[in-house]
Amino acid sequence: MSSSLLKDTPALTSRRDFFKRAGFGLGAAAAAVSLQACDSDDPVDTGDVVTLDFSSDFGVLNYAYALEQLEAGFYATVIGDAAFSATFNADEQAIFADLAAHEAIHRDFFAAAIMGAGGTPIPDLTPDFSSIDFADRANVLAVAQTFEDLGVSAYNGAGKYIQNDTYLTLAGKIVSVEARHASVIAGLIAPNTIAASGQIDANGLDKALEPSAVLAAAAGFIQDDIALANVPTT
Amino acid sequence: MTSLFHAFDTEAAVQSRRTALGTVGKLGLGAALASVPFLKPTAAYAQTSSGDAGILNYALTLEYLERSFYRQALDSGTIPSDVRPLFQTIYDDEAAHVDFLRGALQDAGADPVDYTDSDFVFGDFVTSYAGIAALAQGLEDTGVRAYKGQAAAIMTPAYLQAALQIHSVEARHAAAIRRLDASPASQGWIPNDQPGAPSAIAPVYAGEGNVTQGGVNLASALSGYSATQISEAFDEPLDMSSVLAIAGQFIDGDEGDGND
Repeated sequence: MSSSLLKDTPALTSRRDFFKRAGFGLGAAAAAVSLQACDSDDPVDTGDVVTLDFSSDFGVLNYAYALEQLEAGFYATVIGDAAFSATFNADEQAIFADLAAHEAIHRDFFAAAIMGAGGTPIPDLTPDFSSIDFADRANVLAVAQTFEDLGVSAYNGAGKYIQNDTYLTLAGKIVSVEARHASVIAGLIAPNTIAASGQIDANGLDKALEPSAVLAAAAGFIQDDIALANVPTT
Repeated sequence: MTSLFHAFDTEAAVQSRRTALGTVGKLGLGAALASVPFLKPTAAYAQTSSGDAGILNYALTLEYLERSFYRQALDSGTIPSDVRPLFQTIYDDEAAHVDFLRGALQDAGADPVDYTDSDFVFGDFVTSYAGIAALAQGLEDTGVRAYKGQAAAIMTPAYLQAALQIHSVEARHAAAIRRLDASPASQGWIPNDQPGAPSAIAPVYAGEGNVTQGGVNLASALSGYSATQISEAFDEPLDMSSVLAIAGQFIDGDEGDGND
């Protein structure tokens, strides 16, 4: 089986060299690029711009914090919907209650961890769930699958940008829970499945996405504009 | 607290598994491991490689073990037809992981470890569906902890990313297996330290009940959540020697005799 993914990177390139090569900590002045710069026709666009600066781990942690805010907000809306108990059976209600708790815990943890380490958490984001019919079981499950798979792909793609080993392990502690969520949601959508079609490749690898791709996929669900700065080029 | 284990963890089943594996009565797991000749914590990967290649060979050893387990489980004829497709999918993933890691090691100029299915013995864990489901859960949750435990030690960005991409697939497997016990429906995540796990698998969950993350006791610091929910929200890493003590219970052959 091909391991072309690994062939793309010289085997001797270490993570530490990688960070030096990428200019971490050198004040590289890469311009921030707004992912929603072309989104000016968005009627609910608030115009706020939140910048995730990957020149330090705080940028990566805030990236995770942004995604956890999105997920926590989504599940809070799911379980708070007036039709929740009519839309979902008891098993599904228990699952969504757990998901809502886990994601809120992740969100609150990141806010506390970033502050505790001397960083500044990004502000509370304003979600845009106007495209979702929360009384439609299939629609809610589909969006849940989108968010969970996106979260897994995001953490998988961002791990290599984390410089501090403790933070990398912490991200690992969370991403596997996101993957558990994704699997359970997939099983509700189609029995005996663990992921959406195409999420796991022929090598048995889950998807990994770069931050720009993740934020582009999430942009439709977030009113704020989120910009990236100093993401190393791979 | 429902889990797949309740159907399997009878004294008779555990006793019978001990007999099948040749282990020794009521000794603790560590003592049993030390006293049973065929239980050799796998040293081969350490002899053949170090650094990132050593970690990849460690991962490869675990993938061989999982692949062998699912092949033997599928061959047992005890998996109900309605869930067989899930086990087939998981087997296919584990086989793909073996091939992928072998290829990655070879591309890096390192020697992959070689194991065949017959190097692994699972006793009564592959003679009944209850046993299969219980050990599947234990091995998947072990795999998740094993990859997580090595992530920070991997120096090559591409290897780290690939390891993370396997890690999350193992977590997907673990959750799907955990959900198989549907009366009442069970959770895909790990509550506390998984009370009720059989003795061979209990070490898989040592420390999983941790609620202190980044030096902060979240059960105290966050309001509105139970300690159980907080423990569920974070999976914990496991060090290499603890993982190999778990895996070593099922390794009954020598490394280096082929890889089918």
